[in-house]
Amino acid sequence: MSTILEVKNLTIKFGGLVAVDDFNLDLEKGELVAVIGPNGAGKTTIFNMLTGIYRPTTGTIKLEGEDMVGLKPYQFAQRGITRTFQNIRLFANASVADNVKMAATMHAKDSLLQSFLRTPKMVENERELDEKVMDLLRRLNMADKADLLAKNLPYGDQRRLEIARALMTDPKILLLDEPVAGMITTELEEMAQLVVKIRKDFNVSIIMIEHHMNFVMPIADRIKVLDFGKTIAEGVPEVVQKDPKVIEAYLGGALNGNA
Amino acid sequence: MASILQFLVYGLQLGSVYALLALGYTMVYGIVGMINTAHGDFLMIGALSTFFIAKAFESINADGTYPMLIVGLIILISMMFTGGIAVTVEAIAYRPLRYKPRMIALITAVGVSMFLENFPRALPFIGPNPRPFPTLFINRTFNVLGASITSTQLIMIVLSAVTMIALDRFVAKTKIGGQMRAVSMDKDAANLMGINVNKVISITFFIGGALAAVSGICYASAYPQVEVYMGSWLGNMSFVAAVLGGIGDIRGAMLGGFILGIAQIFATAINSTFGYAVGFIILIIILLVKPAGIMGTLTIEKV
Amino acid sequence: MKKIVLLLQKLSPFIGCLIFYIVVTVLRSHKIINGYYMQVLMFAGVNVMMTVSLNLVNGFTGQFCIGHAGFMSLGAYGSAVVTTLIFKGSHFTGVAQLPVFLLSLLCGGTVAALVGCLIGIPSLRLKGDYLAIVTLAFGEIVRALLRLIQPIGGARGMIGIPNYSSFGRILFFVALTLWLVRNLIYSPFGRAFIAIRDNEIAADAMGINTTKYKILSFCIAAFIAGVAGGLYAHVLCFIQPDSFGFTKSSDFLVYLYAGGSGSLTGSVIGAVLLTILPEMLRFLADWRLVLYALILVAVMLYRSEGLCGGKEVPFLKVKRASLYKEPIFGAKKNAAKNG
Repeated sequence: MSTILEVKNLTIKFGGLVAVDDFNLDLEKGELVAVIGPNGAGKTTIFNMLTGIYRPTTGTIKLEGEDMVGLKPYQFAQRGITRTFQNIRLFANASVADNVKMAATMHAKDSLLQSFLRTPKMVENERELDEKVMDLLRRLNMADKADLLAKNLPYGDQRRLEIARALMTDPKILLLDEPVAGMITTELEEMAQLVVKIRKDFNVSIIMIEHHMNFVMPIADRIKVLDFGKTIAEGVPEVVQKDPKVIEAYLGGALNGNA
Repeated sequence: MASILQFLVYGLQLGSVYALLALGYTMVYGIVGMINTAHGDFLMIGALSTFFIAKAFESINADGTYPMLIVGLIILISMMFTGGIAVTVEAIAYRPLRYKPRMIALITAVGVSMFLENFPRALPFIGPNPRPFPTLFINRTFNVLGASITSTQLIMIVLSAVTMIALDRFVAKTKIGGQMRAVSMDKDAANLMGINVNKVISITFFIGGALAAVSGICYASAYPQVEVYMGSWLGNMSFVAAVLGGIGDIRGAMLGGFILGIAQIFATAINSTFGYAVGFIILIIILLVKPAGIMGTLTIEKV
Repeated sequence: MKKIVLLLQKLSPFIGCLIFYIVVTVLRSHKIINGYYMQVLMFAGVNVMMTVSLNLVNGFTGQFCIGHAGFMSLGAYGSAVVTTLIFKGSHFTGVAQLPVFLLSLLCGGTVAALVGCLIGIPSLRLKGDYLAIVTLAFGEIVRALLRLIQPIGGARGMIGIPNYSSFGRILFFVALTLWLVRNLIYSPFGRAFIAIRDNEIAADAMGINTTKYKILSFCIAAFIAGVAGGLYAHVLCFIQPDSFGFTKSSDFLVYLYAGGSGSLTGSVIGAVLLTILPEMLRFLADWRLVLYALILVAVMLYRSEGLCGGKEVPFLKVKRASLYKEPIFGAKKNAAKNG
């Protein structure tokens, strides 16, 4: 296995507040790393830096050796890092299929002129894209919902659609921001299977933010625990689970309802 | 030097009209989040209603001027009337659209504006023709450092300054002012905290309308004419003033109004068309440097 | 047979306009429509183009342009300069007329599009209402500049523009606009626009260069508005800066939102109905605009999604050879509210 993403000394300050302090991560190809920690620990902030929404105060992000700091969010996506959002951000007024198609925009081959004239070549490209979209939706068990408007989907499906859409960009690294937030226990199991399946089928590395220990433990290769912006523990699930500092952060502080 | 001072006085005069009107724009924007394009027409209604109220008091008009007390009364009635119109417009046309996309409210406001202009125009006793505005204030001219300043100008500038300071204190200090600030931050939360949101919004529109009436009286006293379309252009300019200062911010609106008024007078001295465009040029430059206006703060969407 | 049906569907905006052209020509020859109403119909055509192009920016890309008449004026002057000043006095007849006219429209469209790109640039930094006010300011600055340029008549305006715009020509451009914009919307470009409208942050995160597409949307809209302006100048034969002020811009906004934004059908219906309505109300004399205003407010209050409510008639949709039924691009409602 080789390292695909190298994150070194990632730090971000908002005014005087150090939201994330010296975060490091070497992500292997095909690895599934979970980042856990109480609310406000800086998990989503890390994702925002890894997708170019925030620019880190110091530190480097290297994707397959290329320095990513300073690039725009769309450039992160174009180079292979895509994410889902904790507070779902779908294209609410478009159908499920169109949501996925929109994520394929950067791979589109048609020129502006071809699109204006709707040339046979362009129609053919569109047809291929349609097939690709349906294929992806089938693999995520969403094919029957292709025509529904995204905003009319049940909550769990909206989360799955977020993942489908992210996969359409053909990512090397997929960032999942609380994929099971607000889901009920039976849905957890389903989502866990889906994440494992995606990792295998789509050949992606995954970084996942989640509070939900029951969900994270069985599927993650490695876990990083954050508290107040600092990494307080790191390692395979079994070890992290027993780490006194983690127990302190999780159980000593405010007990998280889901955990 | 004298002419610069003279222009400055003209600028302050025009600026006070813009500032008073911009206040209404900015308050409505801050609290309801809509661009009320019909706001300029409240100015027209203020001026037009003053014309008719003054006419009703004509018998008291001795030797071409009204007694101070009566002038105060005329202005007050006009403010109440215009404020009432503003409240009615909000209740009928804007309230049902409060939770709809903002563009919908904007288009409705365009329709309201069209109505407010054309309804009086169609009424036989008002009609489309401009009419002379009655002299409300004593007209005397002072000479200050070579510049001539009329008493009307002085009264206008003082009147608007007093009104603005009163409004600023009102919003900052009173209970209703506090409720206004709460509603502007979060309508739904304010509602849950027991604030009568409809009442607060009505009051906002009332104040906006009343201020527009004052600015209409100022404007019509300086350029003594009233006609039904006088508000639309002034409305646009004061909207620019509100954005310039940072829309939603009361002090910003005042600042923007005066900047715009002064800039426009000086630019008009160079070329009349330039005077007309200078406000927009300043606006674009300021927004490119400070995207939320001079006093405004940019809200960043949380991811 | 199936191929012919498909071809017809592909070119449906042209066929629709052709049918409309034939109907109007027959009515005209029977003197049911008089010359005045022909001119109203021509303005309606121009307004359809303006509204469709505005729809591209406001309805499909989710930006706020409230100074669209500015682009129209650039196009009107740009093309009028070509036909009236450059090919001075020599009113072309017959074969030579059309190329000159087309050249002038191209010039008008290009000038407007270049300025449109320029205006798109502030949209990098400005959002929502602030962008709106910049477009308004832009429209007014253009108006002021046109007043200052004496060779094109200054504030008095330009007279003696040849009447090259015929009903048929305008209808052709309407069909062309509808066809091109429809195709664009059902392409990767259109999907990028709609993604930006529905959730800009998500669009960015999915690899869509939002800046590029926003500027592109402004440019294309400006080009169409420029061509529409050129057509307008050659109907009226007289243009002046003050006829392209905020009032004109707000007309197009009214057509767009009363018809229903995010739908081409809405733009067509909104523009045509609301162009003809004031003419139908002429018998009311002074009360005409009062009633028009009341109708407008009533439409917005009782049907705030617009007359078409974001729906599309089949002939303005693209038939897909897809595995699922056609997609629905709804009107902008509660966009980005899920966040």
